[in-house]
Amino acid sequence: MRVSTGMIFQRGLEAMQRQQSSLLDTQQHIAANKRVMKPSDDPVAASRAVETTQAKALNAQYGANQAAARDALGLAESTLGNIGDVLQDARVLLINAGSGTLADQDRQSIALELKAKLSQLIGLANTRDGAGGYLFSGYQEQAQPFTPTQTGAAYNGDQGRRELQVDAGRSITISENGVELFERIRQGNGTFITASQTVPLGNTGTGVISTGRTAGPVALPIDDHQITFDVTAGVTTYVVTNTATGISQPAADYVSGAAIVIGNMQVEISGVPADGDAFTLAPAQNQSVFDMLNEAVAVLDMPLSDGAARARYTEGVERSLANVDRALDRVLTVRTSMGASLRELDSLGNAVQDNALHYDEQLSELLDLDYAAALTQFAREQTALEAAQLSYQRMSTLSLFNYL
Amino acid sequence: MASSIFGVGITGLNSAQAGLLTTSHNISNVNTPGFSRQTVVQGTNNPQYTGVGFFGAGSNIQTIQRQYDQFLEVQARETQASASHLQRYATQIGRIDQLLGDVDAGLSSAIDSFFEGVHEVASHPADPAARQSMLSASGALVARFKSLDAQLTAARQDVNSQLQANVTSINSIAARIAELNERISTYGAQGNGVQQPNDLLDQRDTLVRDLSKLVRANVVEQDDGSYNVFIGSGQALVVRERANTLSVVDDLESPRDKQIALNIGSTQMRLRAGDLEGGELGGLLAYRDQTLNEAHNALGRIAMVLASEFNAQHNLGQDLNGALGGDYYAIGQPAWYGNSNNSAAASISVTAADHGDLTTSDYRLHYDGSNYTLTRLPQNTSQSFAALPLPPSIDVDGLTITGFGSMSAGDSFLIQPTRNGANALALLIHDTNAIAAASPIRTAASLGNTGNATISTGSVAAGFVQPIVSFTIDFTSATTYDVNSVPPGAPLANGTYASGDTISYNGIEIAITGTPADGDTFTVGPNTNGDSDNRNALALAGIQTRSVLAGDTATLQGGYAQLVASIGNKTREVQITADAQAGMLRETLAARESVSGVNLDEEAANLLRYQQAYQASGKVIAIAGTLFDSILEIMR
Repeated sequence: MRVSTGMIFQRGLEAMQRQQSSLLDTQQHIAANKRVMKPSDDPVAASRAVETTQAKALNAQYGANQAAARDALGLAESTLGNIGDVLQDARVLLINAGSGTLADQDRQSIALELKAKLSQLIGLANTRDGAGGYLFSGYQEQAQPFTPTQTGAAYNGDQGRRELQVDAGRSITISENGVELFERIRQGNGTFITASQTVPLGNTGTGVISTGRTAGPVALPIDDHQITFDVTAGVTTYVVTNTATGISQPAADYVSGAAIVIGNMQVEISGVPADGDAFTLAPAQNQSVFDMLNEAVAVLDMPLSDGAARARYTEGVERSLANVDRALDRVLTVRTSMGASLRELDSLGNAVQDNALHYDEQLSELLDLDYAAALTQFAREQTALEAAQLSYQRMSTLSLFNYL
Repeated sequence: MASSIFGVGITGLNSAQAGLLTTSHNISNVNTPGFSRQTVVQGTNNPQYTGVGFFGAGSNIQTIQRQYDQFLEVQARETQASASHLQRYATQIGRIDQLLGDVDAGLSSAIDSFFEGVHEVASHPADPAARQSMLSASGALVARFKSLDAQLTAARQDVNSQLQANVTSINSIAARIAELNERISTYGAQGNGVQQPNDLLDQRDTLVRDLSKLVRANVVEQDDGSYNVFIGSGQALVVRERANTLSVVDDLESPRDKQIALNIGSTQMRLRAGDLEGGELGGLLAYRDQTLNEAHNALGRIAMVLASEFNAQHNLGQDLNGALGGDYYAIGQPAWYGNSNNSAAASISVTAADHGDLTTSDYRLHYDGSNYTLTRLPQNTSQSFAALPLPPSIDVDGLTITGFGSMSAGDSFLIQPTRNGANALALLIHDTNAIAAASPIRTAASLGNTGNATISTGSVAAGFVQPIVSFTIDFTSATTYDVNSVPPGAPLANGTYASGDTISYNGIEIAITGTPADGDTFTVGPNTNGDSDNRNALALAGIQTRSVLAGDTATLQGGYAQLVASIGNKTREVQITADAQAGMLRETLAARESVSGVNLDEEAANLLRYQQAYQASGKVIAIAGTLFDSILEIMR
């Protein structure tokens, strides 16, 4: 092919420019340590990097949420621990109150201690977090959850529970409200409650009814029952009447401490009931732990004038003990579930760290430079440019005019 | 005899001189762009008849020829137009490529930070610091959208000013071609149509090639040697010695864009962008219509969908003041522009009915007198709709187009659904208390309940009844319930219960699970003082991972990733094609050069050749002189 002089120069120049431009490009990638500097370098990698970056940011966010959840749960859990301790103390006091015969002043001092436990408990129920918000008032962190009243304490919050999203598709509850924690506590054995009759008149005998227990599932709703005693000619018998239906069971002979079975419900009555004494069974209601303790204080303050009063005292202490056990169960249950959440957070936290590493690796694979390959390419392009420059210089000196 | 030897010698001298002259001309033009090397075409003079035969009468120069291949010239022109088109496209799109390139500086990180702020509020709903950080991140997101939008708008203005510069160059080139046409036809007449003014032809071909760099031009050569040059779909730019001018005019529809018009005398004719293909002008227009518009729309769409989704959820929340959540962002609205030539009565209005279905296209609504045609741009797919009044409105791709007025045939509108989305995005909330992190309702189970049923935290659906009024769900048996007002009057509603069923009342949705007992009561009421409730904040944070774009198929970030991928791919495609086309141009120009280019070695050889011929002819004259001297000697 015929070659023009202009073409020789032009071609040589263009070749050098092209090589210079690719050399500069390679150099810039090396300097930035990036394989993908703009989307066109690798469109697929660039768009995947956008998504991966979001996944990485979300993962970090879940990590942050987990930390917040851990803080909240940790504080609630340790507060529940203290609450458990106070209830445990109250339980010990009640056990003491129930044991043997105590002098009036001993009972009064126990009552005082119990009162102190009650205010301590109200104080703990009104615990605030580091930012000044109350822990147990549901959604209203500015509302003090419990204010003391004559009968215990009144709740000012709501039944809200806060959740946090701690992983894709996993939210955990990080707070418990005062209602669930302190108020929704079934009295007695949790199914039914027992008591000596108070209307129209209190029992005159020394019969004491236990708090009872269930022997199997009890059909709901539970009807009220009454156990009425009859002492005729020194023989004590009792009749169980379903107050709701009015149906009575046949009279049975009374044996102190023997189980009286009503369906799957069992109670024991011990002591010596007098003629006309009666005991009632009713479905357990929800009661606040503060009311329960207040009741216990009232029982301890009760004057023990005669055997009947003493029997009611024993009954009252036993019922309060059962109530405190229920409250303790409640606190323990919530604490256990918070503990489980905390353990879950620990394992989720590990996953967050693993994922962070994984996303970093993925981003690095997508965007980062393979230095070995890039440096090799740089060297190759450099050689090519040098060769082009050298050959250009040689070529440009070739001319027939040199010989004229 | 000797005199004729003189004569022959002189013709030889003249021919060699002409050769030397042409060679010098070639050498001196070795660096002139577009120069075609010239050669002398030498022939013999008519022979002289004598009795013994014909004696040669020396040589003459028949013509000076330029070495030129018309086929190669046309090919070079064509290739040049394509190469310039792609080169310009690649340069322009490279800027958007750079803009979206940085993973940290693009939209992506701003979206992430924004949702981090929302999560922060979800974690600490009552904390003013967390709320402030969400507001700041929202402000930063708006600023990022606006800054990207501003850069795309600047890119659009850059296109407009480059169009103007190109048109100015085209006009000047066209004028010079017309002028050369005139001179070439005059000289051609002088040369009886046989001899050509080679250098002028070269100049004109170079100008046409320069024109091809700017816009693809078709050339038709006339009998008198002048060129008629056509652009677009056959619009005459140069006709013999008359050049028409191009001008840049405002687009009839899109107010921020420019159009190219051809002025023929006093009439102005608009050239469709699609027809002006090739050259830098074509590259600019194609880049604007195919890439810039789409990128701009895609960005706007992300902003609009983000704002509408966020607002919708925010409206379902309750702020720290106890008020229902207001609009969080100002949402951009679809824009529409009537063609300047529309009849006066024609008017439409466009709203976004479903942001999730919006596309990144523009649309043109055209009325032909009986049907409305909605064309999606730049894909050019269209749908036709029957005449008014049926249907009174058109729903398409998430748009509602209404209120046609009385249109005349030929009226058209350009609709840009998402173009303003990014620019119009604004933060409407500046008070930390106004962030609606809470849900407006809360639920409670009565402490007197004897069953084990529990109630969910509940939620409100769009269009719930405001203000929230408390109501209770009272079970009348284990499987039936009444809805009662507080305090109770006659039941507002009743229903049959199954565990886990959603119960809806006044737009409030709650679920009760478990076994309720007769007489159990659940309360639903306003979330008064619910400062630390984060339910709505959690729902707001959930928008980040929900598919809300493009017919609910992509997340917000996914939409951005799509934009990045589409620009990246297009850039790569255009760059690779541009490189290939540049290679082809090099080859074509080389082919042209190999025919027309000057080779100095060749010219050096020619110099020697003509020098020797000149010296030889000189010797012939010298010998003829000596011969004449010999005769004179005899006479002496």
